[in-house]
Amino acid sequence: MPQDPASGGIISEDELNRLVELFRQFEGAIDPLSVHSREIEWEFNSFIEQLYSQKVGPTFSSLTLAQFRSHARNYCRMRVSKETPPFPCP
Amino acid sequence: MGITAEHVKSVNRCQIAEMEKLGKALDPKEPRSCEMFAVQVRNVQAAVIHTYQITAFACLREPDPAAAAALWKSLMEFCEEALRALQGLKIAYPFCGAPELYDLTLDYRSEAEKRYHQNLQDSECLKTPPPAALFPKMN
Repeated sequence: MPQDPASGGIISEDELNRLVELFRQFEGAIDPLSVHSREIEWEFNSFIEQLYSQKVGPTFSSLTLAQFRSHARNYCRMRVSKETPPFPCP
Repeated sequence: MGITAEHVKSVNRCQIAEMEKLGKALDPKEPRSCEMFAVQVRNVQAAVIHTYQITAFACLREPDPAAAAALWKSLMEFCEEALRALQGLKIAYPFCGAPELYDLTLDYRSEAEKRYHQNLQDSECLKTPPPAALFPKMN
């Protein structure tokens, strides 16, 4: 996604791209019981926790981990919802 | 006319009703009964799996998490309807796929419930915007 450097946040574009890709894979998984789907979900949550402990928590002390997770999920959702067909497979 | 969520719901309801009807009409002691019943179990299984896939696809692309939560809730209700029907059938037809479908449906219901609650939480979070400097501005 085109990005104006002046509009950057503490979560980088690369980190967001990774979150969006993981979100797409586990939230849209066609087999939620598969080992792959569970591993991707674990990876997403671990990455969220890592970002929170290293960047978000120290900067925004009033924001909880659960709130950050939801904000990140909503951001991922907004990005994915702007995609047009043909949609990639999860 | 396109395919709507109501169409899918109606077909799913019919699959469960057909399984219940067949379960009552057949004699579990007859060897052919299991074979016939298993075909309908397979149809309900296909409905559970495919409805999950359609729901996941739609929810992933739904910008409003509250609307996504509602779709997951609808899937939970379908799974519960199937579970209610299977409760007796898995005892009457223990070797015709019903117990396995019961367990699978429980697992899918649990996954749908997890996503329902997470999406509800996400929608609550929308009421408070994230700090301005958290994410890059979306173009």
